[in-house]
Amino acid sequence: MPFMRGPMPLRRTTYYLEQGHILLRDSVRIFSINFHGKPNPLQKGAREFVFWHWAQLQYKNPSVQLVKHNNISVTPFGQAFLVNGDEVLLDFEGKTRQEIHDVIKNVLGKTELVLRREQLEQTLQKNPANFGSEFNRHCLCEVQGQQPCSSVLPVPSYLKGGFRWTKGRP
Amino acid sequence: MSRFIQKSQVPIDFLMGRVVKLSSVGLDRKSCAQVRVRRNEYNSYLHQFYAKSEDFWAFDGQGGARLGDLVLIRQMTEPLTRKVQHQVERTVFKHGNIVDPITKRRVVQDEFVDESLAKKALIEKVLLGDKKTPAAPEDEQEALGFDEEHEAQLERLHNLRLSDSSPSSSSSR
Repeated sequence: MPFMRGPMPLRRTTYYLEQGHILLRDSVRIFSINFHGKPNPLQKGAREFVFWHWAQLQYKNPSVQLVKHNNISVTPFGQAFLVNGDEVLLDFEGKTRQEIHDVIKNVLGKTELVLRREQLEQTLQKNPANFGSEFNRHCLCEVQGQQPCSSVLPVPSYLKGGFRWTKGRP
Repeated sequence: MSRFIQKSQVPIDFLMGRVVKLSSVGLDRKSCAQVRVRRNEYNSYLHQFYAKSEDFWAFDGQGGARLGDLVLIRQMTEPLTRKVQHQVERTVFKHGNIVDPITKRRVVQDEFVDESLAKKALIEKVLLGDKKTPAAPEDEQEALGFDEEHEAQLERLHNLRLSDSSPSSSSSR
Protein backbone atom coordinates (compact mmCIF):
# COMPACT_ATOMS: atom_id res chain seq x y z
CA MET A 1 0.00 0.00 0.00
CA PRO A 2 1.30 3.46 -0.83
CA PHE A 3 2.26 5.68 2.07
CA MET A 4 1.90 3.55 5.20
CA ARG A 5 0.78 6.54 7.18
CA GLY A 6 -1.81 6.85 9.90
CA PRO A 7 -3.06 4.48 12.61
CA MET A 8 -4.24 1.66 10.34
CA PRO A 9 -3.19 2.27 6.72
CA LEU A 10 -4.84 -1.00 5.73
CA ARG A 11 -8.06 1.01 5.62
CA ARG A 12 -6.57 3.10 2.84
CA THR A 13 -6.25 0.29 0.33
CA THR A 14 -8.59 -0.11 -2.64
CA TYR A 15 -9.09 -3.75 -1.73
CA TYR A 16 -10.27 -2.85 1.77
CA LEU A 17 -12.57 -0.10 0.52
CA GLU A 18 -14.13 -2.48 -2.01
CA GLN A 19 -14.96 -4.85 0.86
CA GLY A 20 -17.67 -2.51 2.15
CA HIS A 21 -20.79 -4.60 2.68
CA ILE A 22 -23.27 -1.80 3.33
CA LEU A 23 -24.89 -0.42 0.19
CA LEU A 24 -27.44 2.14 1.30
CA ARG A 25 -30.84 2.30 -0.35
CA ASP A 26 -31.46 4.88 -3.04
CA SER A 27 -33.88 6.74 -0.78
CA VAL A 28 -31.12 7.44 1.81
CA ARG A 29 -29.48 10.73 0.81
CA ILE A 30 -27.75 11.90 3.99
CA PHE A 31 -26.30 9.73 6.74
CA SER A 32 -24.76 11.27 9.83
CA ILE A 33 -23.16 9.55 12.78
CA ASN A 34 -22.35 10.93 16.20
CA PHE A 35 -19.38 9.31 17.86
CA HIS A 36 -16.89 10.29 20.55
CA GLY A 37 -13.14 10.76 20.16
CA LYS A 38 -12.48 9.50 23.68
CA PRO A 39 -15.34 7.06 24.19
CA ASN A 40 -16.57 5.51 27.40
CA PRO A 41 -17.50 1.78 27.24
CA LEU A 42 -21.02 2.56 25.97
CA GLN A 43 -19.74 4.81 23.18
CA LYS A 44 -16.89 2.56 22.09
CA GLY A 45 -18.78 0.59 19.41
CA ALA A 46 -19.68 3.73 17.47
CA ARG A 47 -16.08 4.96 17.53
CA GLU A 48 -14.82 1.62 16.24
CA PHE A 49 -17.46 1.53 13.53
CA VAL A 50 -16.39 4.96 12.29
CA PHE A 51 -12.71 3.98 12.48
CA TRP A 52 -13.11 0.81 10.45
CA HIS A 53 -16.15 1.24 8.22
CA TRP A 54 -16.80 4.93 7.56
CA ALA A 55 -14.46 5.18 4.55
CA GLN A 56 -15.88 1.93 3.17
CA LEU A 57 -19.39 3.34 3.53
CA GLN A 58 -18.53 6.49 1.60
CA TYR A 59 -16.60 4.58 -1.06
CA LYS A 60 -19.49 2.23 -1.73
CA ASN A 61 -22.12 4.97 -1.54
CA PRO A 62 -20.60 7.91 -3.42
CA SER A 63 -23.93 9.74 -3.84
CA VAL A 64 -24.77 9.76 -0.12
CA GLN A 65 -23.62 12.73 1.94
CA LEU A 66 -21.87 11.20 4.96
CA VAL A 67 -21.49 13.54 7.90
CA LYS A 68 -19.49 12.93 11.03
CA HIS A 69 -20.42 14.53 14.34
CA ASN A 70 -17.82 14.40 17.08
CA ASN A 71 -19.10 14.76 20.66
CA ILE A 72 -22.25 16.76 19.95
CA SER A 73 -24.30 14.60 22.28
CA VAL A 74 -23.86 12.05 25.05
CA THR A 75 -25.43 9.08 23.30
CA PRO A 76 -23.87 7.83 20.05
CA PHE A 77 -26.46 7.69 17.27
CA GLY A 78 -26.89 7.53 13.52
CA GLN A 79 -29.32 9.66 11.56
CA ALA A 80 -30.40 8.89 8.03
CA PHE A 81 -32.35 11.46 6.05
CA LEU A 82 -34.44 10.09 3.20
CA VAL A 83 -35.42 11.81 -0.03
CA ASN A 84 -38.92 12.62 1.20
CA GLY A 85 -37.51 14.31 4.32
CA ASP A 86 -38.14 11.42 6.73
CA GLU A 87 -35.57 10.77 9.42
CA VAL A 88 -34.39 7.34 10.55
CA LEU A 89 -32.79 7.43 13.99
CA LEU A 90 -30.50 4.61 15.13
CA ASP A 91 -29.33 4.25 18.72
CA PHE A 92 -25.72 3.01 18.97
CA GLU A 93 -25.28 3.23 22.73
CA GLY A 94 -23.90 0.03 24.23
CA LYS A 95 -23.63 -1.70 20.84
CA THR A 96 -20.46 -3.23 19.45
CA ARG A 97 -18.97 -2.36 16.07
CA GLN A 98 -20.42 -5.47 14.47
CA GLU A 99 -23.89 -4.87 15.91
CA ILE A 100 -23.90 -1.29 14.59
CA HIS A 101 -22.76 -2.53 11.18
CA ASP A 102 -25.57 -5.11 11.10
CA VAL A 103 -28.22 -2.62 12.24
CA ILE A 104 -27.31 -0.15 9.49
CA LYS A 105 -27.16 -2.92 6.90
CA ASN A 106 -30.53 -4.38 7.88
CA VAL A 107 -32.38 -1.09 8.30
CA LEU A 108 -30.89 1.12 5.59
CA GLY A 109 -29.05 -1.27 3.31
CA LYS A 110 -30.08 -2.90 0.06
CA THR A 111 -31.10 -6.53 0.39
CA GLU A 112 -29.39 -9.41 -1.46
CA LEU A 113 -32.39 -9.68 -3.79
CA VAL A 114 -32.21 -6.01 -4.77
CA LEU A 115 -28.45 -6.23 -5.36
CA ARG A 116 -28.86 -9.30 -7.53
CA ARG A 117 -31.59 -7.63 -9.58
CA GLU A 118 -29.44 -4.53 -10.10
CA GLN A 119 -26.50 -6.69 -11.16
CA LEU A 120 -28.64 -8.45 -13.78
CA GLU A 121 -29.99 -5.13 -15.08
CA GLN A 122 -26.43 -3.87 -15.51
CA THR A 123 -25.31 -6.94 -17.48
CA LEU A 124 -28.31 -6.55 -19.78
CA GLN A 125 -27.24 -3.00 -20.61
CA LYS A 126 -23.75 -4.12 -21.57
CA ASN A 127 -23.80 -5.14 -25.22
CA PRO A 128 -20.79 -7.43 -25.96
CA ALA A 129 -20.79 -6.21 -29.56
CA ASN A 130 -19.76 -2.68 -28.49
CA PHE A 131 -16.24 -1.43 -29.04
CA GLY A 132 -14.51 1.75 -27.94
CA SER A 133 -12.40 3.23 -25.15
CA GLU A 134 -14.81 1.99 -22.41
CA PHE A 135 -15.17 -1.54 -23.76
CA ASN A 136 -13.03 -4.62 -24.21
CA ARG A 137 -12.18 -3.94 -27.87
CA HIS A 138 -10.77 -0.50 -28.46
CA CYS A 139 -11.05 -0.42 -32.23
CA LEU A 140 -12.82 -2.52 -34.87
CA CYS A 141 -9.44 -3.28 -36.43
CA GLU A 142 -8.90 -5.75 -33.55
CA VAL A 143 -11.63 -8.02 -34.93
CA GLN A 144 -10.62 -10.75 -37.39
CA GLY A 145 -11.88 -10.03 -40.90
CA GLN A 146 -12.34 -6.28 -40.47
CA GLN A 147 -10.22 -3.51 -42.01
CA PRO A 148 -6.58 -3.38 -40.75
CA CYS A 149 -5.62 -0.56 -38.39
CA SER A 150 -5.03 2.75 -40.22
CA SER A 151 -1.99 3.36 -37.96
CA VAL A 152 -0.31 0.28 -39.49
CA LEU A 153 -1.54 0.25 -43.10
CA PRO A 154 -2.70 3.33 -45.05
CA VAL A 155 -6.40 3.26 -45.78
CA PRO A 156 -7.17 2.79 -49.54
CA SER A 157 -8.20 6.09 -51.15
CA TYR A 158 -11.68 4.85 -52.23
CA LEU A 159 -12.59 4.44 -48.54
CA LYS A 160 -11.45 7.93 -47.53
CA GLY A 161 -14.00 10.68 -47.01
CA GLY A 162 -12.44 13.07 -49.53
CA PHE A 163 -12.76 10.51 -52.32
CA ARG A 164 -16.25 9.41 -51.34
CA TRP A 165 -17.79 12.88 -51.25
CA THR A 166 -16.03 14.11 -54.38
CA LYS A 167 -16.51 10.79 -56.25
CA GLY A 168 -12.79 10.70 -57.07
CA ARG A 169 -12.91 13.91 -59.11
CA PRO A 170 -9.81 15.99 -58.34
CA MET B 1 -6.15 20.75 -9.10
CA SER B 2 -4.70 17.28 -8.61
CA ARG B 3 -5.69 14.69 -11.18
CA PHE B 4 -6.23 12.18 -8.38
CA ILE B 5 -9.01 14.13 -6.66
CA GLN B 6 -12.45 12.94 -7.77
CA LYS B 7 -15.24 15.44 -7.38
CA SER B 8 -18.03 14.38 -5.04
CA GLN B 9 -20.93 12.56 -6.69
CA VAL B 10 -23.39 13.72 -4.04
CA PRO B 11 -26.16 15.62 -5.87
CA ILE B 12 -26.91 19.12 -4.58
CA ASP B 13 -30.68 18.81 -4.37
CA PHE B 14 -30.81 17.63 -0.75
CA LEU B 15 -27.97 18.48 1.63
CA MET B 16 -27.07 19.06 5.28
CA GLY B 17 -24.92 21.96 6.42
CA ARG B 18 -24.27 24.71 8.95
CA VAL B 19 -25.55 28.26 8.71
CA VAL B 20 -22.62 30.68 8.34
CA LYS B 21 -24.40 33.88 7.31
CA LEU B 22 -27.85 35.44 7.44
CA SER B 23 -29.18 37.94 4.98
CA SER B 24 -32.31 38.98 3.12
CA VAL B 25 -33.33 39.42 -0.51
CA GLY B 26 -35.89 41.41 -2.40
CA LEU B 27 -38.01 44.43 -1.60
CA ASP B 28 -40.01 42.42 0.94
CA ARG B 29 -36.74 41.37 2.67
CA LYS B 30 -37.15 37.59 2.49
CA SER B 31 -34.72 36.03 5.00
CA CYS B 32 -32.00 33.78 3.62
CA ALA B 33 -29.23 31.76 5.19
CA GLN B 34 -25.86 30.83 3.71
CA VAL B 35 -25.28 27.18 4.51
CA ARG B 36 -21.84 25.56 4.44
CA VAL B 37 -22.12 22.02 3.17
CA ARG B 38 -19.28 19.52 3.40
CA ARG B 39 -19.08 16.79 0.80
CA ASN B 40 -16.29 14.24 0.73
CA GLU B 41 -13.87 14.07 -2.21
CA TYR B 42 -11.95 10.91 -2.87
CA ASN B 43 -8.21 11.08 -3.52
CA SER B 44 -7.49 8.01 -5.63
CA TYR B 45 -3.75 8.22 -4.98
CA LEU B 46 -3.92 8.41 -1.19
CA HIS B 47 -7.18 6.37 -1.08
CA GLN B 48 -8.61 8.77 1.44
CA PHE B 49 -11.61 11.04 1.67
CA TYR B 50 -11.25 14.75 2.34
CA ALA B 51 -14.19 17.01 3.19
CA LYS B 52 -14.68 19.91 0.82
CA SER B 53 -16.90 22.82 1.89
CA GLU B 54 -19.29 24.63 -0.38
CA ASP B 55 -21.62 27.48 0.50
CA PHE B 56 -25.22 27.53 -0.67
CA TRP B 57 -27.73 30.31 -0.11
CA ALA B 58 -31.06 28.96 1.15
CA PHE B 59 -34.38 30.69 1.57
CA ASP B 60 -35.46 30.57 5.20
CA GLY B 61 -39.27 30.58 4.95
CA GLN B 62 -39.98 30.10 8.67
CA GLY B 63 -37.26 32.54 9.68
CA GLY B 64 -36.03 30.29 12.48
CA ALA B 65 -32.50 29.61 11.22
CA ARG B 66 -29.71 31.09 13.35
CA LEU B 67 -25.93 31.21 12.90
CA GLY B 68 -24.33 27.87 13.61
CA ASP B 69 -27.51 25.79 13.24
CA LEU B 70 -27.24 22.46 11.49
CA VAL B 71 -29.93 22.54 8.78
CA LEU B 72 -31.28 20.48 5.92
CA ILE B 73 -31.59 22.33 2.62
CA ARG B 74 -33.46 21.29 -0.51
CA GLN B 75 -33.27 22.70 -4.02
CA MET B 76 -36.32 24.76 -4.92
CA THR B 77 -38.31 24.03 -8.08
CA GLU B 78 -38.61 27.80 -8.63
CA PRO B 79 -35.49 29.51 -7.25
CA LEU B 80 -35.91 32.79 -5.43
CA THR B 81 -33.03 34.54 -7.19
CA ARG B 82 -30.06 33.46 -9.28
CA LYS B 83 -28.03 32.78 -6.12
CA VAL B 84 -30.76 31.51 -3.78
CA GLN B 85 -31.53 28.09 -5.29
CA HIS B 86 -32.24 26.15 -2.09
CA GLN B 87 -34.60 26.45 0.84
CA VAL B 88 -34.13 25.53 4.49
CA GLU B 89 -36.29 22.48 5.15
CA ARG B 90 -35.66 21.96 8.86
CA THR B 91 -33.15 22.57 11.63
CA VAL B 92 -31.57 19.38 12.87
CA PHE B 93 -29.54 20.86 15.73
CA LYS B 94 -29.87 24.39 17.04
CA HIS B 95 -26.69 26.24 17.92
CA GLY B 96 -26.19 26.32 21.68
CA ASN B 97 -29.26 24.20 22.39
CA ILE B 98 -28.37 20.67 21.39
CA VAL B 99 -31.07 18.17 22.28
CA ASP B 100 -30.07 14.51 22.18
CA PRO B 101 -32.45 13.01 19.60
CA ILE B 102 -32.62 9.66 21.40
CA THR B 103 -33.24 10.72 25.00
CA LYS B 104 -34.70 14.17 24.14
CA ARG B 105 -32.59 15.73 26.92
CA ARG B 106 -30.54 18.87 26.43
CA VAL B 107 -26.77 18.38 26.23
CA VAL B 108 -24.04 20.84 27.25
CA GLN B 109 -20.40 19.77 26.89
CA ASP B 110 -20.74 15.97 27.06
CA GLU B 111 -23.25 16.07 29.90
CA PHE B 112 -27.01 16.10 30.13
CA VAL B 113 -28.21 19.41 31.55
CA ASP B 114 -30.67 17.80 33.96
CA GLU B 115 -27.90 15.51 35.24
CA SER B 116 -25.43 18.36 35.77
CA LEU B 117 -28.08 20.46 37.54
CA ALA B 118 -28.90 17.54 39.82
CA LYS B 119 -25.19 17.13 40.62
CA LYS B 120 -24.93 20.84 41.36
CA ALA B 121 -27.96 20.68 43.64
CA LEU B 122 -26.43 17.73 45.49
CA ILE B 123 -23.14 19.56 46.01
CA GLU B 124 -24.99 22.62 47.30
CA LYS B 125 -26.99 20.38 49.64
CA VAL B 126 -23.74 19.02 51.11
CA LEU B 127 -21.96 22.37 51.32
CA LEU B 128 -24.79 24.52 52.58
CA GLY B 129 -27.31 22.15 54.13
CA ASP B 130 -30.61 23.93 54.71
CA LYS B 131 -29.16 27.38 54.02
CA LYS B 132 -29.72 28.60 50.46
CA THR B 133 -26.60 30.78 50.36
CA PRO B 134 -23.38 31.02 52.42
CA ALA B 135 -23.72 33.18 55.56
CA ALA B 136 -24.34 36.86 54.90
CA PRO B 137 -21.86 39.41 56.41
CA GLU B 138 -24.40 40.59 59.02
CA ASP B 139 -24.75 37.04 60.41
CA GLU B 140 -21.02 36.50 60.69
CA GLN B 141 -21.12 36.21 64.45
CA GLU B 142 -23.97 33.70 64.28
CA ALA B 143 -22.32 31.68 61.53
CA LEU B 144 -20.27 28.63 62.42
CA GLY B 145 -16.50 28.69 62.29
CA PHE B 146 -14.65 26.94 59.46
CA ASP B 147 -13.97 23.71 61.37
CA GLU B 148 -17.56 23.35 62.55
CA GLU B 149 -18.88 24.10 59.09
CA HIS B 150 -16.49 21.53 57.59
CA GLU B 151 -17.58 18.89 60.12
CA ALA B 152 -21.24 19.57 59.37
CA GLN B 153 -20.56 19.19 55.63
CA LEU B 154 -18.74 15.88 56.14
CA GLU B 155 -21.65 14.61 58.23
CA ARG B 156 -24.16 15.57 55.51
CA LEU B 157 -21.99 13.83 52.90
CA HIS B 158 -21.76 10.72 55.08
CA ASN B 159 -25.55 10.67 55.55
CA LEU B 160 -26.11 11.05 51.83
CA ARG B 161 -23.75 8.15 51.11
CA LEU B 162 -25.52 5.97 53.68
CA SER B 163 -28.95 6.77 52.25
CA ASP B 164 -27.55 6.16 48.74
CA SER B 165 -26.21 2.70 49.60
CA SER B 166 -29.35 1.62 51.46
CA PRO B 167 -31.49 -1.06 49.66
CA SER B 168 -34.58 1.21 49.28
CA SER B 169 -32.73 3.99 47.43
CA SER B 170 -30.66 1.66 45.24
CA SER B 171 -33.80 -0.22 44.09
CA SER B 172 -35.54 3.04 43.18
CA ARG B 173 -32.67 3.81 40.74
